[in-house]
Order: sequence, then structure tokens, then C-alpha cells
Amino acid sequence: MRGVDVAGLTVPRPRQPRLDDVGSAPDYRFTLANERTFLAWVRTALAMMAGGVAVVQFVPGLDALRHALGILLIVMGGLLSAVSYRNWERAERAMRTGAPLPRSTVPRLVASVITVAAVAALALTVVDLVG
Amino acid sequence: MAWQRTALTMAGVSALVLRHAGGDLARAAPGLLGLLGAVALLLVVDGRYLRTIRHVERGDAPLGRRLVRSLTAGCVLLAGGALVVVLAGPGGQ
Repeated sequence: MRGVDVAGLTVPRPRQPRLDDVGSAPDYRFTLANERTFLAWVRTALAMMAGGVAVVQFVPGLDALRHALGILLIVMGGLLSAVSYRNWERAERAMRTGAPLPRSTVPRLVASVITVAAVAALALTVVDLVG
Repeated sequence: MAWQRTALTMAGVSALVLRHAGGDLARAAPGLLGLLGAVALLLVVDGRYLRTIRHVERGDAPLGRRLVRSLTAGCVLLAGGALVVVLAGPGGQ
């Protein structure tokens, strides 16, 4: 049985019913739009990974800082891929049951990480140019 | 086209990882697998597009959870591979 480990005890977690068994199929245009949104998030995640590898390869400056920045972006890219699937399923489930679409803090988090990474990469480049 | 764009992005990231790995075969594995995955995705989504049209014309829901799940797993694995390659340092130097 699937469950959550709490202090050595396995507490059963209620399983969600399969997506196909929930509610009724929404208008196919909504399903396809949800899929396109998922794909857009996956592309954002892939772009973050590419940015992470590029930062390690091309940004000048201290090795430790470059690596920290690159690793942050790559890890965020991997996490964002997984979260994209969760958001896709939650939205699909909500559409099938007629519930309001779930809200997410992911856009704010992604924007913050990208801003921090861009400022840090810019600072490293400027320090290298000046120094 | 959204699936094709995603496959091309995946290929781009994989190429970057491959470049960072240099000539070392073990380090090149994540990039090579990512490129293969991107090519496989490009081939699969073509047929999927036609199947989606058939589903819609029949009035069925065009729900394809398996491919969505596979893509998510592929991206998470690619991120893991990229992390390993970056931590191992650039190859071929």
C-alpha cells in the first residue's frame, strides 16, 4: 500500500482516482490547451537547464559561483518539469469535475529564480571585465 | 507544433550537455540519450497528431497521458544527467 512514513509508521495516503474515471471529458479544445500549457512549461524547464549548462561553460569568474549558479538552474529545470506534470494533471482533473482551476505559485518562483540568475551572471561578467 | 518545438528544445539542451562532456563516452551518455529521446519524440508526435485528429472527429477526448508522463520523466532524467556532467567537470581538457 502506498503511504507516508511518519516517525516509523506508515500512514496510508488516500489514492486519487484515475484521471479517466473522474467526471466527464471536457471540450477537447480545453484538453489540448492544457496540454500546450504543459509543453510551454516543459520548454521553460529545458531552457533553464540549457541556461545552467551555458552558465557553467561560458560565464567568466569564480568557479564555485559559476557552478552554484549553473547547478541551481539545472535543479530548478528538473523540478519544474515534474511540477509541470502535476499542474497539468490538476488542471485536467479540475476541468473534468467542473471545479475552479487550481492556482500555482510556480510562475512567481520561476520568475524569481531567473531574475536572480540573470543578475548574478551579469555581475560575474561585469566583475570579470572590470577586474 | 508545440510537441515538435519541445523536441527541438530537448535536442538543443542535449547538444549543450554533449558539448560539455567533451570526448568522454561515459560523460557523453546523458547528452546522447537526450538527443535520441528528442528524435524519438519527433517521430512519435507525428503519428500522435493524426490520432488526435481522428479522436476529435469521432467525438472522443484526445487525452494522451502516457506521452505527457514519458516527456516529464525524460526531462527529469536529462536534468539529472546534466547535473552529473556539470559536477564531473568539462571533459576532453
